[in-house]
Amino acid sequence: MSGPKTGAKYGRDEWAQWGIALVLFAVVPLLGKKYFVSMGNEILVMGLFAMGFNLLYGVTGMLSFGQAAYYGVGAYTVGLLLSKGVAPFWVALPATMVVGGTLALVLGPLCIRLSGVYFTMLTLAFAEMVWGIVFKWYDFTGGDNGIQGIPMPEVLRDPLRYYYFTLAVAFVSFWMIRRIVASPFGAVLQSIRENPERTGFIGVKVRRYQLAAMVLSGVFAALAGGLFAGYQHSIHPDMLHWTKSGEVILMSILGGASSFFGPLMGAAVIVFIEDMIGKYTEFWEIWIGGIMLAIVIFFPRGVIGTFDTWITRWRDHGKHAGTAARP
Amino acid sequence: MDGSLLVAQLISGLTSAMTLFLVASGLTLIFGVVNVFNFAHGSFYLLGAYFAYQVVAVSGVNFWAGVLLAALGAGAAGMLMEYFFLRRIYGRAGEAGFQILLTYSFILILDDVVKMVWGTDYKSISKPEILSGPFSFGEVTMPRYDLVVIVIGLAVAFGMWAAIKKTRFGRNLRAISSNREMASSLGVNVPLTLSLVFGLATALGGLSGALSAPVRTVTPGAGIEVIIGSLIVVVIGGLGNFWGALVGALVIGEVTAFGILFLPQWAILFSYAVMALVLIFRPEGLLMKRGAVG
Amino acid sequence: MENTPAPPPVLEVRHLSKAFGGLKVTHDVSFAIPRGELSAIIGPNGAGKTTLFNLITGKLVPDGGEVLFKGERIDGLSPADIARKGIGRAFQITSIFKERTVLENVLVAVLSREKRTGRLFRRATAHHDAVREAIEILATLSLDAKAGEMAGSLPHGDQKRLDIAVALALNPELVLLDEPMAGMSPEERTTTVDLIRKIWKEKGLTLLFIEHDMDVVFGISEWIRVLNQGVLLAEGTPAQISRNREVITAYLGEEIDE
Repeated sequence: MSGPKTGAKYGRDEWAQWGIALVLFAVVPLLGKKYFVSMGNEILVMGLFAMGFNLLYGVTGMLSFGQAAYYGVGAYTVGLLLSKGVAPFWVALPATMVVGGTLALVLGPLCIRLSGVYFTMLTLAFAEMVWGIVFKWYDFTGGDNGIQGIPMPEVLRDPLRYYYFTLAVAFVSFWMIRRIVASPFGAVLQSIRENPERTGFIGVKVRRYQLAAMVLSGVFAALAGGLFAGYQHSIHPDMLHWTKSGEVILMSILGGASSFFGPLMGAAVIVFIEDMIGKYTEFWEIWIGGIMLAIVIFFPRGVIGTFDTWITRWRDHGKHAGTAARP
Repeated sequence: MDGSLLVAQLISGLTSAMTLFLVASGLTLIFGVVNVFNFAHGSFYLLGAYFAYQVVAVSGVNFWAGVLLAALGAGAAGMLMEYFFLRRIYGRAGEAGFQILLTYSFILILDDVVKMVWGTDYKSISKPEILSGPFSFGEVTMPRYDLVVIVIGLAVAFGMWAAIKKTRFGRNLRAISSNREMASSLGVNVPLTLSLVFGLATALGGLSGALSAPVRTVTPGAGIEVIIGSLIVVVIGGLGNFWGALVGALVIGEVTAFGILFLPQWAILFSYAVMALVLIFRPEGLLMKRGAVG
Repeated sequence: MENTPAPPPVLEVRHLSKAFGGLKVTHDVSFAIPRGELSAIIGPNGAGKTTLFNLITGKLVPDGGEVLFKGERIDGLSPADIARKGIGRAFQITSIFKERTVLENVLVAVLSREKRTGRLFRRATAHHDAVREAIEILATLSLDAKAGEMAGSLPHGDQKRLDIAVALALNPELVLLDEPMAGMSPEERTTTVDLIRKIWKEKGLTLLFIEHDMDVVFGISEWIRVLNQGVLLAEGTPAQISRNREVITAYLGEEIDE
């Protein structure tokens, strides 16, 4: 899969994308319906989760099937700190980023010992281990009941206010991720994706950078989880379930792992689809599985990425009508 | 803690090791020959369990015939998945990633199919009459059923080893796993062999599920547990190594059995701990030469 | 009369051995490369030439023997560490970053050398000095005009030169080129040979290359070392090697492009 277009400068197209996205997210919820606010909030949270995941997958080429562990731990850190009255939200949210990064520092080196498919399976296995711990540790985490009624600070209790808070945090995070991808560090990550062996031969300690990518991804996942806990006022072991890891992968590949905003767009589509499916049937897995199967077989560059290619080709065809096809 | 309890756990560990081995050996076979990591392998274990339930508990067919049918059913399902879907992504750039995503989508699909057909409540099958009692030799007592499972596991291990070493089919497998194009030019029907291997491997997974059905309740959640258990086995024993699958299964079977004695709720953590140690000190697995994997 | 001791050879290999399974791919190989030498390693297929490069650059760990770079032992070090010490390498099968631009390919190597790859916030392309240097390096290999193109879309010959450019970006003292002309047309070969010779002279490099094209080998090398079945069969000037009986025998049955 090709990487995000890093481009010399942030081109006009890109500024336009940022502008449109920001305007859409800022204005639509004001149209009155509570539905837009809650959908928007979920899209932003999952979008942040997916963009953080894509730092690992689309940028560095590491397919992790265990990001739900960081997302869930992020949610639980906030949820537990708040419900047990240990810390206020303003402390809990940064704290959850630290916890997410630390967990990645612990699990990451074990997963990176092996590469390829085995790396992916190890991320899944250790995530399942974390899920199991949260699920069974009833006294501390509430077990399979989870914890409800998490108290939030007065100023953030209004759903619309919380939405704009999430919007701000999410877009600042997107900007940070963008800068990371364009930086020398991001260039190394992309080289690792393209050719890990050669990257070693240019003097880079590849494993160190892979671990750094896992830590960054874990930090953003935990932040997303923390934001979700604040939105839902509850936490549940399902947030660490392997299907959550699969969900964020689906969002990235649907939107296209090689375009910067792809994962965010994928998140929007999937959140809407899941909402619709949920209204008609409890059998959502078969639909999501079917969508993923279709993408893998027919749209390997992501649905939005493929449409992008078609549109470009159609545009170019119009420009060069009459001339011979390019080799 | 008296000796008979330890021996009982040893045997219980051996039994679960055999069911693990059946699944892990299939996984290793697919990875070695077809070069696919069948993430969905646990789902075929699941299908085997549910097919066995359907045929034995619902339709009243003889237990052993039912187990065989269940295994064949799982094998057929595996061949269908390989032929109609997996085949389309062979040779793609970045194939490994697509394999994972494709097989993952099948986990989701099969998960819901199982729920739609059989519901989400626990199902159970009873062991056949003659096997539901104890078996003792000397001072040792064990469930008769467990003995049969162990025997079947060892028979399969030996059978597979013999088949791979001595038969023409086995030689074809080895040829394909070292060089697909060359095997093809030597006259091996590669596509057919790949499908057969896939079917054989998923049949083994289904066999394991069917054999486990009388012992553990049959639920949709078993699929993922099984694939993770197999992964742990394969990592410990050695990636792509057939005997490694057996050794790894024995290690995990026994570690879990004894772990249950000390920390019943958290016994699975012992397996993770062993895997972590292997990853740190011998990432290529216990049976592989040092430096075999980077 | 000079009393200062002679500087150590740039690269010295002592009794180097490596075996896979029972097969000895490198057997008691010893030689020394003085500073500034332009030399070739030749030998029939399977002689162990690429394995030798792998042993020198850290991709393989020797079973026995030592590798010394400027007098310091480097066997057992990782490829990344060896690259930083000043050994650059281009690969037999082109090893570049295909879905990155030509400029990005070289730029990341320059930034790595400058230890700026920990930087997270300034755009890589805003490191103007590094970008300028990357373009200069591309220019020495006639690739600067293609700086904005995707590396994977380049024709084969350009990709091989890009491979070399990435190796040069580390400012190495010793450069190992593994079949740099493989797959190139005769015109491309001539151009590339001239480029290599020019770079060797201008940067004062020590250059060691593996090649099968004997025109190239006998045309530009100062010294030739011959490997056969893992053993160093002979070394000498091109004239000496062309007359060496054992070398000729080893090549009988092999096609020599004379």
